Formats: sequence, structure tokens, C-alpha cells
Amino acid sequence: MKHRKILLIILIGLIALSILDAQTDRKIQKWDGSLTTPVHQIPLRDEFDQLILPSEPYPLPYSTRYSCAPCHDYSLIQKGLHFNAASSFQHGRLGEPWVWADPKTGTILPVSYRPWERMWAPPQLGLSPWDFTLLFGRHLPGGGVSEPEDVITSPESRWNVSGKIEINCMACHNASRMQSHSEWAKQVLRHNFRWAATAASGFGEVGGMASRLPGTWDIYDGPNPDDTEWAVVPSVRYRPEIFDSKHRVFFDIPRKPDDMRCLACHSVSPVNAQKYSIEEDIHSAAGLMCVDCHRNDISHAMIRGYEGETTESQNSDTAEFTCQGCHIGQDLSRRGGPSSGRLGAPYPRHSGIPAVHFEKLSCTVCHAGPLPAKDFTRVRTSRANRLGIYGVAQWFTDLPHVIEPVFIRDQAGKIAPHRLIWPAFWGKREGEAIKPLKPAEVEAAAGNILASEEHAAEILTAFTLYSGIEGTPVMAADGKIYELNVDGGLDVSSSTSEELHPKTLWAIKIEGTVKSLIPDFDPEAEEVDIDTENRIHKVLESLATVSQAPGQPVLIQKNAMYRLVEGFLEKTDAPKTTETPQLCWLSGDYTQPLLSEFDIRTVVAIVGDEHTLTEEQVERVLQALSQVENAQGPAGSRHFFYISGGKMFHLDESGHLTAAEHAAAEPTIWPLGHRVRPAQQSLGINGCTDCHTEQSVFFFNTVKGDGPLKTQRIALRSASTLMGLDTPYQRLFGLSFRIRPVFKVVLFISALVVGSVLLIAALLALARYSGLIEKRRQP
Amino acid sequence: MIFRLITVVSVVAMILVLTAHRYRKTRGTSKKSQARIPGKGYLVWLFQRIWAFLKTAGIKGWRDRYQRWIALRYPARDRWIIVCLGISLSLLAASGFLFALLSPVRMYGSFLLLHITLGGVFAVCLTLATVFRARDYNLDGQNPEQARGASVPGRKSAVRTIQEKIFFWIFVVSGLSLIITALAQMLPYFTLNAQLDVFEVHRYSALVSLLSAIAFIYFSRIDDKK
Repeated sequence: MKHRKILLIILIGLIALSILDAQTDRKIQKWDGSLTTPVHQIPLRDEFDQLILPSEPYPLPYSTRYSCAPCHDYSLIQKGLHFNAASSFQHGRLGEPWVWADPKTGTILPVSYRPWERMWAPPQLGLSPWDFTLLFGRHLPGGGVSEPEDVITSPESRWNVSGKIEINCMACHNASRMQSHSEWAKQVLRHNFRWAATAASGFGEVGGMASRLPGTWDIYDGPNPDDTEWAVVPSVRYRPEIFDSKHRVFFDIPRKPDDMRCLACHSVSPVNAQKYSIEEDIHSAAGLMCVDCHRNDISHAMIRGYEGETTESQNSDTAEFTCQGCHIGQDLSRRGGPSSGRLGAPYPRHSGIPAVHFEKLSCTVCHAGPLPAKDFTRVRTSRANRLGIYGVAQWFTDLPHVIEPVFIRDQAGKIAPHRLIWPAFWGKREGEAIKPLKPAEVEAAAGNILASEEHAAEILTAFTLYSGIEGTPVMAADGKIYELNVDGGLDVSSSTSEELHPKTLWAIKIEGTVKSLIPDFDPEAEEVDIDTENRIHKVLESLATVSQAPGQPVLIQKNAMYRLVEGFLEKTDAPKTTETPQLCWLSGDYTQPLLSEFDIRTVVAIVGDEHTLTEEQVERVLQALSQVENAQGPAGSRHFFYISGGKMFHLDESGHLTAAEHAAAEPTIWPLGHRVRPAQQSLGINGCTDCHTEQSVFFFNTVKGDGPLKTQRIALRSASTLMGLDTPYQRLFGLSFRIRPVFKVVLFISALVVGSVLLIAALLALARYSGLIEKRRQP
Repeated sequence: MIFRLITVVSVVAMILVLTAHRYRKTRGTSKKSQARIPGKGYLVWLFQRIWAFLKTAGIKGWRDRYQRWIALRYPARDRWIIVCLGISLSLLAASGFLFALLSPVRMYGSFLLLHITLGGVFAVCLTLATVFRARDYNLDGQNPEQARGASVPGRKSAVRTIQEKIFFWIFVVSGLSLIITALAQMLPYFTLNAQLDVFEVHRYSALVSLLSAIAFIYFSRIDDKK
């Protein structure tokens, strides 16, 4: 009896708890049916759930977790598509990877926490959540790995200083034009994680840099009054006018997030295209918004809109938001009736297109992305090429080279247009196992091998900043002129000067004319021209500012050597003779040119070129990596390699660079869904021969391996091979379209003749049945 | 699925009906016994016939068949038309029904190319056969040979049976339907849904064409001299 009572009490307690829980849920989530959007005039709360008062001396940044949470279930949103890459078990079809691109080491590594094919998981690359956030936080919406539960996830992480990046709700939902993606990226790179959302939303101005603070700093420590210049503690100065008397702030949140907010991270544009020439997706042009199709509820499980999503997501609603779902509808028997599809979306007639196309091809083959052409379209994407971040410096990157449309079978077996990048990375092979090396590891082993452009730029910087010579110092080599650009790199242009001696390396450009930096002079003369002497003095003085110079700067002309001794120009005998004035580094009795032959060769090869590495550099770096490895112990079966352009490069037994095919060098692909073109611009609008010819670019185009390495040894993949099609058959099939018109005429004539005979036979039978013919025969 | 079922049932039924008809004709059974379903004797006879057919399935056997079925029956001008028509129809049926019955997807690739090419041959042969042979299958009484008092070589008389004539014209009509529906699918005037309807007509026409061809061959040989 006693046990029964206890059981009864437990049961009642459980029921009460579940009701309470349900009611709590209802309080947060239940929608009342109104189609209006509530006015978000709400108090800001910080990460300690304390009300923010802008008039306080050191107000903390606002926390979305606590400011938005009273009405929205933050823990549920955390499981949404944009935040669950590392925690979800359902990943759906391939998506765009993050790309770890480092031009200096020629690294292009596709990275994703989702276990998608040919993408590296961050732990495989030794990337901690902290590293990942620093690398890609510029385009992360917060949450997920950038908001770890445990702040000490790796030794190098500084979560306690930077704070976590909470889900930045306003990155997507803010309708205000004050929402700044550039500000977000800037704050993330300064390690101002907890301040980034406040700065990006325009609620306040954030100063200071957490990256400069000691690792022991904590938010409880507050500002440091002793350092107001360098290690300034990040702080917020809220805009007082946005607060009302109850300390509430208006969040400009529309019912549907603006397309601009999506495009901050999801823009794709052809390289070299003019902004005014870019056409919108036909759906956008028709007035639809991104979220009209890519919908979600409070769970933020966005509908991606691909065929097969229903099965994978187990959400039957997703089927309505595929191309077919919208344009044809779920009930195929309705066949284009007035209620087909959603909101009367145009019903596709697809006149003259054989039904097999709909079994073999996805809708996007004909309707999305650029039309197939001989040359693939190179595009930049927000996340891969760092688009949409504006400032004095150039933020976007040339690498990786993304091309589209590459037609490949998707996971459902249908041919679909994809974007493609070729991976490029240094790595170590142990048996069959491949381990990519981090760019920092490669740089450390490579030493100066990868710094040729830097060396040249450093010398030109010294001439520019410290020589005081009129004009622009330039480097002349191989008939070209190299000068400094604003990013500290080099720009190349063709040389028009005929006066320049072929062996002259350093020159000065004045009003388009290029002259030798040190004019030719006779050191044997009794008195050297004073201007020349001054020039030599200034040049040597400026070279002395070059950091980590391998020696003292000297000038050698014929058999004389000039150097600065206690600020005065001293002439001595040169250890070697030269035809033209040559600037060198003197170390002991040994002289070496300012820039080595290797550096000059490298600069000539890669500056102004889209490639960033030469084969010679790769060979040397591989040797250097092997040497480092050997120094640490017997290398055994470990081999270093570099992957670029679809090939794996390694050193053969004689120490020379050799290339081979390898699965790790295969390209990374992901399907594209946009830009959708109108029906009149779809592939096939001109007839079957848009694709079916013996020279069709759709079937017979070649995807060429591409990467940072300047080489002729690249992988080639034919389009039909990528699609898993038989090339000779497709050529034959394409050829058949040349005789199809004749074939149709033959069929037409056959039908006409047979039909006529049948008609005559039928008429004769009718005539005889009715007695007409017999009557005629009988006179 | 329905098409598959109809195809299998109709082809099997056609074969059973014709073989049963032949069995009774061979045995000369009374009308009373004809009404009954053939029994064990029929099955034995059927296996014997199949075995006999297989034994003569070599080149010599087909050469004999060509002599009996084509060379003795048709004038030299028409022989190759009939041979090409027969071969193209057989290959079209094989490629078409193979996909229709066994594949979950529509015909594509090399089979499609072969099917389309053979379709052209079939259309030309059917046209010529219709033009040259139509008067022999005049539904209205005598055919010209019969009117001349001639006889078909290897046959008891020059009379075309009514079944022969009917199946000839059914074959021509279904053949015309096949040509028109094939042509329609190549023209850029029909929407996808219309094409799907046309495709249905095409496959049912193919079935009727095949069945009528079988029946035509059977009834055109039933009165042949042994």
C-alpha cells in the first residue's frame, strides 16, 4: 500500500512536470497565428544576463543568448543548419566547403566539419575550434564550434580573452543598413569575439583588440588604465540615442530576412565581371526573396531545396520547395492545371524535350549557373574568396580558383551542375595514409625558398622609404618592370626603356622613363660625379635598413667597391669585376647579389601570374622538408609531396620533381543551385544541338587541373568522363543529329503514304459497302 | 506496370490460342472436342514442335524457311522488303520490349540509337510493303491472283483468308501509329505531358503491331501444303 502511494506520487509528479515543460515550450514557441511581426523593442542583456545600461562606465557587449532568449529558444536554434556542422548527424547533399587558402605556400584545402567527400575535417588538419574560428569566423554566423561549451579546447586557444562567438542573430535578421559584415570580420580578426555582434549591428562602437591582450586577461579584469595605446581592452560605446527611457533598444527585424543578409556569405560572381553587368537570379528578379524557398521555423533547419531532401531530413514540407515542388507540384496528375505548384509558379511545358532528360538530369543542368562554354566560368564566392569585406586593404583573394558549371552526377545519380576547386597542399605520406601539412609548418621548413617576392619587395621598400631618390624604385628583369603595390607585394609591367642595360637589376622610374638606379660611372676617374656619389650614398644607406640582411650593402663597379664606413663612402678594391654597377651584400670577404638568381627567376615567373609557386620552389621545399624530417630521425617510409592541379608532386630517387595521379589530388565539387536563368535562356532552348553535337562543350569539354603551381603537368578530366558517360557513344549520338532532319522527313513521307493507302482502302471499303462502286461498274 | 502485365498476358495468350488452333488443325479433331481446352496431348505436341523448331534453327533451317515463307510466296521485287520489314520489326520489338519489361528507366544510350535507326528502316519497309502488297489483302472479295485463277506457290490456293487480311490491315494501322508517334516525339511541338501520352500510344501500338504480325504470319501459313 505504501509503495503504491509512492508510485502514485511519482507518477503525478512526472505528469505535472511534463505539463509544465510543455507549457514552458508553448510560452516560448507557440505562434498565435498573426502574420504581423512583433516590434522588437527589447532590453539588451550581457553574457551574465544583466541589463545593459549605456551610461555605465564599462558596459559589456550585448549577448544574443540572453537578449533574445526570453522569447526564442536559443538551444533549439543552436541545432539549426547554420550552426550544427560539427554536431549534426544529418548533413544532406554536398555543400560548399570552407577553403583554407594560403597563397605563399600554395595551400588550398577544402575544409568542412560535415563528412562530405573530398573535404578535410578540421581535426584531420590539426585545426582546433579556435583555429577554425580565427580562419573562417569572418563568414561564420556564430554558434557551433565558435561557441564551445568548454573554453579550454586547445592550448593555443584564448576563449577566456576573446569570449565565445554566440549566434549572431542580427547577421541574418537585421533589416538595418547599419548591419556591417565588414565590421564583423574586423572584430573577429581582432579576437573581439564577444564584441563582434554589437559592433556589426551598429548598436555601438567597439574599440581595442583582444588579440593584443595577455592570455591571462579575463572579462572580470575590465579595462587596463595603464595602456591606452597598444594592448587596449576592447570596450563598447553604445549609441545612446537607440535606447529609450526603459533602456530598451529597437531591433529592426522584418518577418523575412533581407536577401542582402544571405548574400553577405552566399554571393557568387564571375571573376572580372562588372558589377552592373551581373544579372539577378530569375526568382529574385521576379520579387521572390531567398527565404521564400529556403524557409525554416524556430529550429532553423533551413530547407535547402534539393531533390531527395525529404528523405534525408524526414521533413515532408521540403518536397514543396524543390524546383519540381514549386513549378509542377506534388500531385503530378494535375498536369499544369491552374493550381499546380506553389503560388501559380510557371508550369514548364518542356516542348520537344524527351522524357529521358528528366530522369537523367537535374533541373539546374538547363536552368542554373552560366551556360556551358569552351572555357569554364571562374567565379569567386563569399566564403572561399572572402567577399563582402570592405576596407582600405584588399580583402578578397584570388585563390581558390572556383569554376562552374562542371556537370557531374550527384548523390541521387542525376547529372547536375557543380562548382569545382582543385585542392593544393603540402603533405606527408606514410604508406597509404595522407596527412596535409599546415602552411606554418611548410613555411618554417622552407625558410627563404618561398620568400622571393618578399625579398624583392623589401629591397624596393627600403629604396622607396629611405633613399629619398626622386621617382619610383623598380626592379628590372626579363624585359619587365616590377614595382611595389599598396599591399606590399609587386606589380609587373612591361619595360619600354631601351636605355637600360640588360644586366641592370635595380632602376628608377620617373614619368614613365626607367633609368638605372646607380648610373654608369668610371671609378678610375680622378673625381666621381657628386650626384652619383650622393646616389650611391643614399642607396647604401637605405639598404642598411633591410631587416635580416645577409651582410653589409656594397656597390661594385668594375674593380672598385663602395661601402659606408661610419657614415662615409669608402672605396676599396672589389673582390670581383663587373660591367655595370652592382649592389651586393658583403659578408666577410664574400659578396652576394641583393637578390639571388633563384629569387629573380621566381619573381619573373610568378609575379603578375595567377600561380604563386614554381616547380623549382616545390623541388627545393620538398628537399627542405625531407632534411628537417631526417634531422628529427630516420624518415623510413615517410614521403613528402605537394598536390596541385590534380597531380601529386614528389621527389624521385634522383631528387627531381615527378608528378603522379593520386586520389587526394582529385577536385572537390559541390552542386550549384543559382543563378537560375529564365526559360528563354535555358540550355536547350535552341534545340537538341545545344548539347547533342559531336563537338558539344556539354559533353566534350575538358576540365584542366588548376592550382598555385606553375606547371605543364596538370590533370585533365573530360566532361563525359566526369558524368560517367561513354564518350564515343556521345559523339556518335551527337553526329546522329546531323541526319535527324532527313530522318524526320523520311518518317513524315512514310506516314503520309501509309496513311493515304489506308484512307483509300477505307474509302473503297465504304464505297463498296454502300454500293457506290458496284453501281458505277454496272452500266 | 499495367503495360508490362498487358504485354505479358496478351503475348502468352496469343501464343496459346494460335498453338491450340494449330494443334486442333493438325489433329483434325471434331468441332465438339475443339471446344474443350487442349489437354496433355497438346502439351506433348507443343514440346515436339518446339524441339523440331530448335533442331532446324540453323542456317539451313532458316534458308528453307526463307524459301517456303518468302521466296515461293512473294515476287522478287517484294522479297527484300518483307525480309527487312521482318528483321527490323523483330529487332525493334526486342530492344523496345526489353526496356519496357525489364528496365525501370526509359530507353537510352546505344539501345535508343539502334531503336531509332531501325525505326527508320521499319517505316520505309512498311511503306513499300503497304504500297506493293495492299491489293493482295483487299478486304473486298478476291485478290488479283485469285481473280486471275492463279495459285500461290506452296499453297493450296491463292485465297487470302479473312484473318490474314484483317491482321495485315491491323499491322499497317498499328505501324502507321508507330511512325506517327515516333515522329511526334522528335518534333518540338509537344509538351512533356503530351509526349508522355504519345509515348503510351507508341508502346501500345508496338504491342498491337507485334501481336498482329504474329497472327498474320500464322494465318498466312496455316493453309500451306506440307
